[in-house]
Amino acid sequence: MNNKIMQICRHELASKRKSPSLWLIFFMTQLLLAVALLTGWQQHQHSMHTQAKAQEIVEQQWNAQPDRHPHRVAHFGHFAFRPPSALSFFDLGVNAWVGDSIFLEAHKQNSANFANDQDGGTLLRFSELSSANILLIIWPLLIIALGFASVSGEQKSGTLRQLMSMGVSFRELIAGKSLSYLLVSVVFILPVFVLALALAAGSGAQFSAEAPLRLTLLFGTYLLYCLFWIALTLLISSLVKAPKQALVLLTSVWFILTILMPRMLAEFAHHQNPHQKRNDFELAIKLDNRKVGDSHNPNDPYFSQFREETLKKYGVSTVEELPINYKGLVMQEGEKLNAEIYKKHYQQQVAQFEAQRQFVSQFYWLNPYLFVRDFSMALTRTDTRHFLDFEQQAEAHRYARIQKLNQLHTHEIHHHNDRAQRVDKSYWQEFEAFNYLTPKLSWSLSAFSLAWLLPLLAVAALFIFLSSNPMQRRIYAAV
Amino acid sequence: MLLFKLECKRLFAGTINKLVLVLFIVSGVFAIYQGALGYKSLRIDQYKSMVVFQKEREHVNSRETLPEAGSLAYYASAPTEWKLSPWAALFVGETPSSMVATKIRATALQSQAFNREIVNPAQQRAGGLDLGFVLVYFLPLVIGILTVTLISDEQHAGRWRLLNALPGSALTLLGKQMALRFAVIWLLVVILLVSAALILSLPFDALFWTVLGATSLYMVFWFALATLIMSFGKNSVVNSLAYLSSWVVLALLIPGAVHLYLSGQYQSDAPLEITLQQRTTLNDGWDKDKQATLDEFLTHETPWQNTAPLGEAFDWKWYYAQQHMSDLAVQSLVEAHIQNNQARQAQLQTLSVLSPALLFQLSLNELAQTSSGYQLKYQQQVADYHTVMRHFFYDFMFFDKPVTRQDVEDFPLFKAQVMETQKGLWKWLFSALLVLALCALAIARIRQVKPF
Repeated sequence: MNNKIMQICRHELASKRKSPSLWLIFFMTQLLLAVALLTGWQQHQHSMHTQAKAQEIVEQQWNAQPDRHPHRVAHFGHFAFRPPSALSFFDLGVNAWVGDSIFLEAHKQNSANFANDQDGGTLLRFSELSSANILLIIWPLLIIALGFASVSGEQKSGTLRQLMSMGVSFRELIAGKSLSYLLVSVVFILPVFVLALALAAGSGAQFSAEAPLRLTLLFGTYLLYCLFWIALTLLISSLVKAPKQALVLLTSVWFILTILMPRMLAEFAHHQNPHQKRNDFELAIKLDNRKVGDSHNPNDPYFSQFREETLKKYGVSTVEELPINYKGLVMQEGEKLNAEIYKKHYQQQVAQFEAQRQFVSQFYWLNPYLFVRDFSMALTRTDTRHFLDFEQQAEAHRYARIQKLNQLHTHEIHHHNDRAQRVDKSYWQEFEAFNYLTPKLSWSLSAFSLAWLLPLLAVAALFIFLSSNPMQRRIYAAV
Repeated sequence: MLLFKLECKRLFAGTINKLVLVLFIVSGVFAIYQGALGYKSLRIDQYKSMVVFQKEREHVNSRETLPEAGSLAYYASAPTEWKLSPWAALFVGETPSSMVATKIRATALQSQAFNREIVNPAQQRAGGLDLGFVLVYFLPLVIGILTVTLISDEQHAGRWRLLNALPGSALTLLGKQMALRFAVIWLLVVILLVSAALILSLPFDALFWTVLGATSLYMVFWFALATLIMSFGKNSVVNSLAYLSSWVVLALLIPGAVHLYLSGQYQSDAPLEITLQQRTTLNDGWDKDKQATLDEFLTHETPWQNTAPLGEAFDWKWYYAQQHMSDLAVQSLVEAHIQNNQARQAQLQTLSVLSPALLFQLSLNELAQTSSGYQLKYQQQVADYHTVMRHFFYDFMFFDKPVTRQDVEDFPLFKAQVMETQKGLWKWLFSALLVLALCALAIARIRQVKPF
């Protein structure tokens, strides 16, 4: 039996090998993949370089500060830069729409700025031409072109009848053809992964032990994606009589799955779980901050109470008698309140983003494109979650940095004539540089838990259905 | 009439034909609905910003003592708006990811200029579905599915030879079939556009007819391409694959390649440099001689030259002078950045002739005034308004004029300038000529098709 499958597979490969247009398309697509990967690599190197340089500059600027009042340093602020993830040259993910740098200052949380989506409304309608995107959108078309006539064509030309009479079962036919398309797929997508691995390995320092593992998983994910399209192509080719009809139907399904449905779902998810627009978000934070209290206003009820408590704690009757600088304490308290309010609103936004993501993920089983797209972004650390993780790390860093300055303010600056004093510049060296901690693989994939199982089962179900008895009977009846 | 009925029957007989037409209408309606929601939310954003500002102003005026001008200016975040017609609901362009109601204060402009709208990047990654998308990318596929196999189907059914035996009837029939398909699809497009116009209360003015005309021209292009492909006399499968490949190249690969090219060619770290340099300037300003900063400022802003010299205490006028000086310090960078953006846009205009899909998409965004060119114009208006606002406050700060309630009422609000639509007449003519040439070629070639 195995022999027959191998023979069918070999025969299918041999017949495809003869087609010059297929060779041409293969060659062109390989070229396209290589170009996409290399430009992605160039961009990656460029932003790596820019980001690292900029981070170095701001660290230097920080350390080179003269003696200063800590609160002025808090307003001088700092920057956090998002280094591009190691595999972002393969899958650019959401990179075009998110910023790379955040200004970290006192009292205020800024968003990441400087995204690279100029003319996005015209040029990025299909996202960038990244390797991942080509594999996701264009490769299925090639699988369709390879296999749309594989059953219906044999049926039409009468070769199916001959094969059957030679004792080849429909199952063997499907298995053989699937195998041949899978082999073609492997040959086709392997070079880009090998090249990606070589590039990642060649980049040295940032190449971690995880990169090969992530690439292997990526490869597996894209193979699963190939299998899905192979199964779908064979299924439709078996169900539809005329090859032309099979082709048109497959193209329509391709359009629905890879182009229409992801867009509709994303829009719908947004509509169902809307996040706040910038103005609303900032207004809500401003209003909440106003409610809590104004640290600059001496008669503010919240801060009056805070003063009473502080005085009681130290057993003194005026702020001047305190052993520490009360103004610094107020700064600390204000920053704490402000950060809590911001966090509350920010978490609401994150929750809405997450709800949108989850809404889309409900359809992974129906449309493996969605799953592979999201899984690939997670593996290459280029999805929304990873970006939000950067924003949160930056905010945590901002908070720690500002509070450390406020502590200096509290302990090293005297209450009397506060503004005129400075602390020694050696203190600035005690601040740690911002260092983005790249999430581990387990974190990257934690949003999926068992979500990968459903698309896998869907593909398996397609193959099981293809080789089921009713399917066999249907084909035999038609022969 | 009988033939027409028969042809209609044939057109709507195929399950796939029906499926594709239904899908086209469904996604068109979905796109209009989502677009209307999106447009509504951005209009609400603009309106709310206005209302919030009015409330703040009332709040300020209801206080017993008015704050001094410097502090008032520090907290006065005045709304602006990117004036958008309801066409922005159909061809969203850059509006989903950029601010349409930037709030601006009299402090340094460049540190406020790079604010972005909050978007779910995953949604942007998916691509968005507006009516523009349906017309630019989906419409050609509908055309292809309905037309590109017409001759080969007739050949396959064995009718083509028969038809060719009758004088002139094969081509006449093909012409009629194409015309019927054009009419059906065109009618669907008209239904979509008219219902969008009714829902969004768009006037049936020149713009409406331009959009309809451009869409019709775009349709003619794809019909001509389908005819051209048919004229090679290959079988249905080859025709379908050829048409699909053309679509992939024109709609997907060329725009993608143009994006790669432009990103590489016009790559700029200017925003980052501007931010870093402005921060340094602003910070160093505190250590510099304040009177010197003020004097230098006054050489740029001469109407306030007669202001009194600075005293010992903190003075708001120095604060705003130094804020403005930090804008001036990065001005050359900002100008270079704007020029870079303009050059990029000009290059995009030029390169868009490579693909009708790209050209059409860009034109739709321009007609709706949502393209990056108009975004830049809006940002320029914001910058101009920032100047008006600064100057309003300068009188109080530099001449120690107390702020009165009337002054608070008189605070100048942002007035959106009407943006002229770029006259791209030559572009339309040029496109029409090219499409006509393609039609002529296709028709000339189709006449030669052998009666297989």
